[in-house]
Amino acid sequence: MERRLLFALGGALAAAMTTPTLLVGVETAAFAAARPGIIATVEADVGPVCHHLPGRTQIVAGRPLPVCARCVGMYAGAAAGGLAGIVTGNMLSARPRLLRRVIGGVCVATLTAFVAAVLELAGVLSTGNALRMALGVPLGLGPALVGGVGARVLLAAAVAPDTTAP
Amino acid sequence: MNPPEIWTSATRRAWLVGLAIGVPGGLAAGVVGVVSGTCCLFQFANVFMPALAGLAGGAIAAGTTRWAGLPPENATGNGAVLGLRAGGLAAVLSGGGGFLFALLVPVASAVISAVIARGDVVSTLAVSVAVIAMSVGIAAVMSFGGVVLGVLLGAGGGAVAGVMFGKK
Repeated sequence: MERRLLFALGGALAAAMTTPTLLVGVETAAFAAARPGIIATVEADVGPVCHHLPGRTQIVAGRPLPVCARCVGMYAGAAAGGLAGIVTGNMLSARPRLLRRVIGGVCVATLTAFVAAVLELAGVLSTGNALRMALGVPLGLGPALVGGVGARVLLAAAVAPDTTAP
Repeated sequence: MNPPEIWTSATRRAWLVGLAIGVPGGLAAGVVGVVSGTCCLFQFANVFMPALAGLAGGAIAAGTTRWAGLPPENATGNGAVLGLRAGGLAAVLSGGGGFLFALLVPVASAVISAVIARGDVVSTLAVSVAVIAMSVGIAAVMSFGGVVLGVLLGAGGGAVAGVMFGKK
């Protein structure tokens, strides 16, 4: 029963962590091909969340990106982090010391980016769009990397031999 | 993986961590429900809180299991399962708290509209029902997505913490 639960959770988490990679891929291709209709469809679910302010949106090749600079960074980070976590999850879980360093570093980067974003929201700090985009990357990458590695650990635990003493 | 020890002091601590982090998470999600469209940071907070709760709960469970002198397999298993509970609780509180918080505003506005439109029962009822129904719908959709993702991330965070602190 517990193994089934772990397997279901791990599978669902792996699917959830690869979804941003797919969506960002579709959006990037649609932007490159100048197909705004596809971008609008993909953005339909997150449209109300991003403020879409023109002044805070990065211009690429003379066209504004579909979401603000920080959201672009967050989505790129989520896409990269989820994929990296799933690919490296088994290797990292076999090396707990390295895993502690990686997760610790990611937590520090994510919290730093979060504090910077809150300070900017409070009007204490002012940054440009390029820095906003860079600071958005750890916000998406941190949770996605934890989720990706966690998915591999849960799946591995679900199929591992039982070591309980009789 | 060995089965977790049920309701040890580590479990209680994991639940407390889930509560301590889940309640502020609920408030953050509530702000999302009320002022959606103002800032992408709230979207982040709704996902980050359960992942952090999962990591914290898993770390405490795995750490205390090791201090108790149990083998690393127990620590990893306990970390994963208890981190799942802490993260899941934070996610449910986050989404549920947001849902309840988002309900307060339409109820308050319905009461205010009832006071303003004193005497006109039909229009007061119509405005109240419309405002509450619309807000509940929006809050439900936003909270549900947050809860599902939060539970999954809480489980993942707990599992990662179980490995991080369960093995030497």
